[in-house]
Amino acid sequence: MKVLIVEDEKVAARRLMRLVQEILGEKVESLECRESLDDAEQYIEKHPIDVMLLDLNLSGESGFRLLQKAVASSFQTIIVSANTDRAIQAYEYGVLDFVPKPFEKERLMRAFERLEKTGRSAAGESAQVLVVRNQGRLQIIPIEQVHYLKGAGDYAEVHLRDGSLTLHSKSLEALERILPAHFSRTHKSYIVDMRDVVAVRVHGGGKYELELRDGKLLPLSRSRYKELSERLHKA
Amino acid sequence: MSPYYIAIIMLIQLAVAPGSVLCRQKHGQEVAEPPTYIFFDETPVVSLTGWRTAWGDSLAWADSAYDDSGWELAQGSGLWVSDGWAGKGIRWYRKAIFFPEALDTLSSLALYQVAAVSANEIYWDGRLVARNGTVAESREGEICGVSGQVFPVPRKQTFAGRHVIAVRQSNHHTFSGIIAPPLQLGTFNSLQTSLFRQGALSLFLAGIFVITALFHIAVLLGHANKWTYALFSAFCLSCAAYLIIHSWLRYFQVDLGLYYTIAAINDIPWFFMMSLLPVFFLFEFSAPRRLVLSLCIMAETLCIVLTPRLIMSGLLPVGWLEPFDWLNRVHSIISIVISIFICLWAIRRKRIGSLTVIIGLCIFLAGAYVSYRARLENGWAVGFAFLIIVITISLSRQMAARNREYQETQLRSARLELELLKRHIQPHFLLNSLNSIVAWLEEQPQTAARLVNALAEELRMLLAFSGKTTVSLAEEVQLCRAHLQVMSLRQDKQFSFEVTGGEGNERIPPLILHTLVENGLTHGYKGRNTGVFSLRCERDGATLRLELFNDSSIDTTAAQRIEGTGLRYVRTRLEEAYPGGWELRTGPSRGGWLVFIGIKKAVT
Repeated sequence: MKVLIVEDEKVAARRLMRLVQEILGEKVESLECRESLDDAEQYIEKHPIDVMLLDLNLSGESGFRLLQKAVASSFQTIIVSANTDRAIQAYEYGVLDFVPKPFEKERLMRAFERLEKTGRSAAGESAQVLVVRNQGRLQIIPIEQVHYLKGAGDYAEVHLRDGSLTLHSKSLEALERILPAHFSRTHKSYIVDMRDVVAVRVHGGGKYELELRDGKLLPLSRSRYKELSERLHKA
Repeated sequence: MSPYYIAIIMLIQLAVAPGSVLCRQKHGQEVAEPPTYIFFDETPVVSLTGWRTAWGDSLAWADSAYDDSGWELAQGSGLWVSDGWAGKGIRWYRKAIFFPEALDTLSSLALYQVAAVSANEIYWDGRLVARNGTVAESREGEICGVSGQVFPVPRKQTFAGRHVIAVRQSNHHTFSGIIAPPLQLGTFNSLQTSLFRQGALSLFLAGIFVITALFHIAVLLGHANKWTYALFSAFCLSCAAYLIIHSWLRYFQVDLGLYYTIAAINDIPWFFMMSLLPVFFLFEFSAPRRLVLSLCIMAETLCIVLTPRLIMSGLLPVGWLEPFDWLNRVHSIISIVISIFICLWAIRRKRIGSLTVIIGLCIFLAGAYVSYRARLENGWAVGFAFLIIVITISLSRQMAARNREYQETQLRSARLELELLKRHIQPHFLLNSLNSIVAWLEEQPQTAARLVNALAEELRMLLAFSGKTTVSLAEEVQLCRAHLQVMSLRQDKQFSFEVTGGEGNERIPPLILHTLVENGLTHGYKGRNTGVFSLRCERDGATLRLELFNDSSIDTTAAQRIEGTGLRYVRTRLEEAYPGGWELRTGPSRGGWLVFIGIKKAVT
C-alpha cells in the first residue's frame, strides 16, 4: 500500500509515520510525508498513491477547497485533524474517514481497516456530493443528481439523472466505500441508486437485468440477484 | 442717549427702518403742522412723532395756545432729535393732538417714556402731568429719571378735541446730547398690557436660551467630550443675558444715571452673540483653519463693539462714532451671512447636520421678518429661539448617531474579544497541542512535560489578558515567548523572540503582538528549522514606535492572503485604545516581513 502523509507539524508527522508503519507492517509499499498539499501534489504527479492521511485546517474557506481537490483524486483520503466540528462536512465531501486529533493507534487502525474492506464501510456518515475534475476545474455534483456509476478501468463513469456523463478519478471500489447506503454494487462494473430500481428481469442463460424507473436496463450479477430480489419484494 | 445704543436697539428691532423713512418723507418741512388725530378704539397705543422743538426754557411754552410754528420740526420717528440736533441743555418739545371722540367713561390715558438719559417734565395743555427726574440748567443740578415709567393723564383733561403735549427736558448726562426714543400715548390699560407683553416675551425667550444652554452643558458634562457644545452654550447664554439686561433697562424702573454702565456691560453678551455663532459653525463643521478664522472673527467683532465705548470715554475722536455706529448696526447681519456661508460650505462637504442648520438659519430669517412685520420688540430673539431649537435637534441627532457608533464599536470589540479567545483557547489549538504532547510522550516524555508547561503558561496569560484594554509591553512579550515555545515544541523547531529598546512598561492593546507572531508563523517557516522574531521598541516623548520583524521566507501574495482576521483584530484593538492616534504598516523587508505600529499618545 502506498501511503502519503500531509502534516505540517513535524512531531505529529513523525508519530503518524511510525504508527502507519506499525499498523501496515509488511504491506507498506511506500510511506512519504509532505508539509503541505501543494508539495504533496508534486509528489503524486510522479508517484501514484492509495491513500492520503491529510491534516487540514478546515476552519476556513481555503481548507475546504484543498479538501475538494483531494477527494476528486483517485486515492482515498483520510482526514487527521483537530477540527472535529467539521467532520460531518468532510464526510459529505467524500473522505473515507475522519480521525480526530489527538488519537490512539487503534483509531488509525480502524481507518485503515475501512480502506481494505470491500463494500460500504460501517460508518454512518457518507458522501453527499461527488467532487469531480472537469477540464481542470473542480465540479461538485450533489449525490441526488447521480443516477448510476459504471466502472471504466481505473475510472468511474458517473451517469447523471439529466442524461449527462462525467468521469471520476476514483475506482468503483473506492467510490462504493464512500457513497450512501442506497447506492449498491449491482455488478462488477455498476453501482446503482437502488431507489430507482423498479424491477428485476430474469433472462435465460443466467442473465439478469435491473429495470430502472426511466426504463433503462442495467446488468445485474448473479451473486447479487438473490439478495436484491428479496429486498425488492419486501419493499 | 448714544447713537451707538440707539443703533443697537434699532438693529434689534430690525431697525423699524422703513417706518422711519416713511415718516421722514411724510413730515418733511410742512409749514403748518395739523394736530395728529387719534382714535383710541382703533389704536390704543400711539407713538407720538413730528415734534416741534426749541432750545431754551420758558414755562409759557407749555401753554397749549403758544404758537410754535417758528420751532424746528424734529425729524424721524424713532428719535426725538436726530442728526444735527445734538446738544446739551434744556429744551422743549411740543406736539398737538386731536381726539375726535371722547374717551369711553371707564378708560383713562397715560404716557409712557422709554429709557432716555435725561430728566423730563411733561405738560398736558399747560399743566404739569408728569415729572421724571429733576430738570436743571447744569449737570450738577440735573437728576436723571428712571426708565419704564407710565404716567397717567388726569381724566378730566382728556376730553374730546385738541390737546398739546409739551415736554421740558434737560440732557446733561448724555454723552453726545442725542436722545431717543419717543413718547407713547395710550389708554392706561393698553399701555400696561403692551409693556407687559413685550417684557414677558423677552423673559420667555431668555428662558428658552438659558434652558438650551443648560441642556448643552449637561450633554457636554454627561456624554460627549466635544467642546462645540460649550461654544453653543456660551452663545445661548449670551443671548439670554443680552435679552434680560435689555428688557430690565426698558421695562423695569432703572435709574437712567446708570444707563451707560449697564449698556457697557451689555456689550459683553452682545460681543459673544455676534461672534460665537459663526465660530460655533466653524468648529461644528470642522472647517479648515478654523482657529485662525475664529480669532479673526472675534477680533473684528471686538473692535467694532469696543470702539464706540472708547469714543465715549474720550479715547478716540467723536467723528468716528458715526461709521462704527453703522457697522455695529449691520454686524448681526454680517454674522448671519458669514454663518450661512460656512453652512453652505459644510453642505458641499456633506458635513453631518449642515442641512438642518441652514434650514434653521432660513427659519431665523423668516422669524425675524415675521416679527418685524408684527412690530415685536425683540423679534430677532424669536428667530434665534427657532435657530437654537433647530441646532439642538441637529446636535442631538449627531449625538445619537455617535452613541450608536460607540455602542457598535463596543459590540464589535466584544465580538473580537470572543473570537480571539475562541481562536486561542478553542479546541483546535488545544487539541493540536495535545496531539503533539501525545506524540512527545511516546518519543521523549521530558519534552512532552516541557510542552505541557509552555502550554499552561500561555493559557494562564491569555486568561489574564481577557477583558483588558491595554497591557504592558513586557507582559505581551512574555505571552509571545510562551506561544513561540509551544509552537517550537509542537513543530520541533527553534523559534525565538528578541526585544531591543523600550522599558517594558509601555502600554499596548493586549494580544496584538501575539496575533502578529501567529500570522508570521502561519506561513513562511515551511521546511525551516529556526525562526527569529525581533521587536524594536522606540519611545519619543509620548509617541511609541514598534517594529516587529520576522525572518520568514514569505512570498508577498501569501502575505496578502493572511491580511485577514488577524490584522483586522490588531487594527480594531488599536482604534479602540487610541482612537485616531495610531498607524499600522506591513510589508516585506530585507529577508523577512516587517510590521510597523506607531502610537501617538501611548499611555505609560
